Amino acid sequence: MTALLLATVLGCGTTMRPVEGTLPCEDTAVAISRRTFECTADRDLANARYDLFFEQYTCKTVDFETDVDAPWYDVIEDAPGDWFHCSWAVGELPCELVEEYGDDLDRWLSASPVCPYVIDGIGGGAE
Amino acid sequence: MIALLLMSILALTSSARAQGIEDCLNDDSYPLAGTSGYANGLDALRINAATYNATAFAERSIFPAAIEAMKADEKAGEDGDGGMLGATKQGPFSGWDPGGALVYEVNQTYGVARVPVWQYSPDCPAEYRVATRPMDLTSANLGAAGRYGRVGFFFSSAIVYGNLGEPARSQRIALGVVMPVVATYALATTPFSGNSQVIQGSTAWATDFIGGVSADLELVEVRAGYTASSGWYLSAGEQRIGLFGNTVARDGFSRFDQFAAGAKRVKWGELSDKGVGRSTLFARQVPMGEAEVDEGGERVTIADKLLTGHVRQDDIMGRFDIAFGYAFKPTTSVHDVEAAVHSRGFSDPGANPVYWRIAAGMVQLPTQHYYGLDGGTFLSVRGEVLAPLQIRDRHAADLAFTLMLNDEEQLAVFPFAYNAVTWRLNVTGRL
Repeated sequence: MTALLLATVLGCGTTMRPVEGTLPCEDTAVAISRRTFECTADRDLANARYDLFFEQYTCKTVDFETDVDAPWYDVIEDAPGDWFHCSWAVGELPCELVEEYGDDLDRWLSASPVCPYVIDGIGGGAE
Repeated sequence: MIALLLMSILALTSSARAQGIEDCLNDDSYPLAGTSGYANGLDALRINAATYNATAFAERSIFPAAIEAMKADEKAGEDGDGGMLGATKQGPFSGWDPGGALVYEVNQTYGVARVPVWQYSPDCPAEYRVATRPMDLTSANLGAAGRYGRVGFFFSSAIVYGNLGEPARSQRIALGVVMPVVATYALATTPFSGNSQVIQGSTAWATDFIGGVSADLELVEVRAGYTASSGWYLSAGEQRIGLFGNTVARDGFSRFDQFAAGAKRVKWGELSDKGVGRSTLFARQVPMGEAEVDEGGERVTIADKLLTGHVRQDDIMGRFDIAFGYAFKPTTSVHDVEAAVHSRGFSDPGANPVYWRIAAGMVQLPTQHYYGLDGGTFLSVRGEVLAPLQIRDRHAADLAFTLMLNDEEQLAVFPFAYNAVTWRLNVTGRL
């Protein structure tokens, strides 16, 4: 009986949490940092590029419940995760391009047509 | 018992139904590639985690248990009952003194990472169309060590299994109890499957094992083994002072990303018995992640490393432990601080039916934006219960249960698993 009580008390509620609408943008910053680290092994540079992202850009808020029909939806056919296509594409950049783009984050964000829909300030950040 | 189980299942199912989330099924969802949570979830299953798991398990559980078994056997021999298999001490096996240990352990961690998923079932509530689910991590270990005279063998296997938690918390907890049992069966196949890493949809698993030989060189016991993930495992332990060292060598002995060395449970003569306790001092390096860099036109894999130094004083006045850890890489900072109180004899159990230990402290993690981590200081809590069982003569078994929040060693391997709760069950048999 104790086990049942414990399971019921501990078991109430759901493990799911709705995702914040800014996550597609924030995860792009993480993807830039991660890809920098994966290609350079320089953790300081990777952390610095994350900070640089938020110095140059601000995050747009996506409404996952209503933005299904947004103009950029289905950029990739049958991929409902389009909101995260920007962070995915950035995370797939070859190391040669990571080295070439360096701190020019606008060039990083040209990897996906979705980036301007989730990130504000592209085109005005890099020198 | 069966009725209780049925009632629990009914209660858990109705709980999910009441929340309207019974249609948010794992089968109707998939993790979103490109998210930091998804990347962390995959990182949680990296082979180096399974390798570290197998080596840490061997050092923490298998070797000490085997040494205890040998000591018990030697003591029995001195007492005149011939030790284990005493009958074989006549004839061709004269002088051989076999002994060993068999250890089984399961760890269940709830929430090692949170993975964003797309749930496309039209019946799943819209607010959960894009939601995060926790990734739970099961690791199961099976190991053995034995010695015949001065020569011995050891085997340590690990399977790390990750899955997205069920939508209803109750189902998730129930699955967390069942999965370690299921994973145990897979352990038996690791000598044949070797190291593997399989990802199917939102679940994944990795396996690794170490097999090797040991030799007692009087002053020191040396061990050498091969990891299925293509690395050499080298270990040495000395019993009089407590010196030890171990490492995994990769790429033709050119990479030593993982090592630990120092002295553990050093006794200060009579002072230790008068309440000073025993001292432990060691350094440990754990690979945290891998990078592929260009070196002379060739892509070379190098690992990010967490290098820490640890000082412990155990059994102060027979009841208290304190521990301090300092990180040297990737950044210099205090890594962990811990204080513990335990029942008398916890470190050397024998007479009592049950022993306990409670520890609390803090763990500090560096900023690692590339894992989506801002870093910071986290509360750590650990509770342990140990029940030694004397089965027959020298044949003994220990049952140990541990509950952990932010265990510093676990966070060293899975830095993104902060505020994750882990339970561990360890069963050790000494022959």
